[in-house]
Amino acid sequence: MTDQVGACGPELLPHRGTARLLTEIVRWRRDFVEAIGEVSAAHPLASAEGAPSFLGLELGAQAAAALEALERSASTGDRAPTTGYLVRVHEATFLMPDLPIETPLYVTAQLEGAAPPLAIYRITIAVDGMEFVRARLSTYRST
Amino acid sequence: MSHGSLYFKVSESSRLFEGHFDGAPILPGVAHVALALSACANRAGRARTLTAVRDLRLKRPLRPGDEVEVVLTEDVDAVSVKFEIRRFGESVTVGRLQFDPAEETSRD
Repeated sequence: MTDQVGACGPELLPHRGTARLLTEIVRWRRDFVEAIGEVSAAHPLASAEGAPSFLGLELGAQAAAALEALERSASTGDRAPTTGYLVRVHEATFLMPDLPIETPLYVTAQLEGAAPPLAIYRITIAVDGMEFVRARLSTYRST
Repeated sequence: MSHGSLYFKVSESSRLFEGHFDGAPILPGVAHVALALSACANRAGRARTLTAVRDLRLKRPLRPGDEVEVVLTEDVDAVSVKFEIRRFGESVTVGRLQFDPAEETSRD
């Protein structure tokens, strides 16, 4: 299932403006997504040095929510955005203190387990092949 | 282990609410981390480099205008801090922040 690559349109996520970090789906299959995100210079947590690496947790959660929306769309045809909430970070490691702004951030989300509406994902964020963030987090899907 | 509390008001005009979400704004989960980190920096009197987050549980959302207490407990290892965000005494978020050990020990 990799039929919906390309820009991450409004149908996947309810986030708007600078809150929307995910910009493009690179590829996806059942339980896995690879995508691209970007932090706008206008993001409220961004500064001249960059954005704090923990903002990558939000990008990872958005990738997970997009994957759930893609899987639901493929199975039921429902293209409504998925509202998911980050409810737990089991562990997260920040290998660099800051994420670059206005720069492609490569994010992956791999489903580890689910008991709907809860799901656990392992996420990574890299820039030019260098890993910046790795984490294991849980999301809660309300819609 | 040292303890301390700091108090914050979540500004109604915070730009963190923009687009998150239309009609039902809540503070993004990462902003809870930013609040705890801000409290740690405030108490230490300097910025601290975050290297890890452990056992973060976001139990309740924060909305525009919420007033919160951030309770900090320094771990015995001196490089991590447990925190709890409370609103009217009710636990909103708990977690543990870990800081750069090299940076922390060089300031002893």
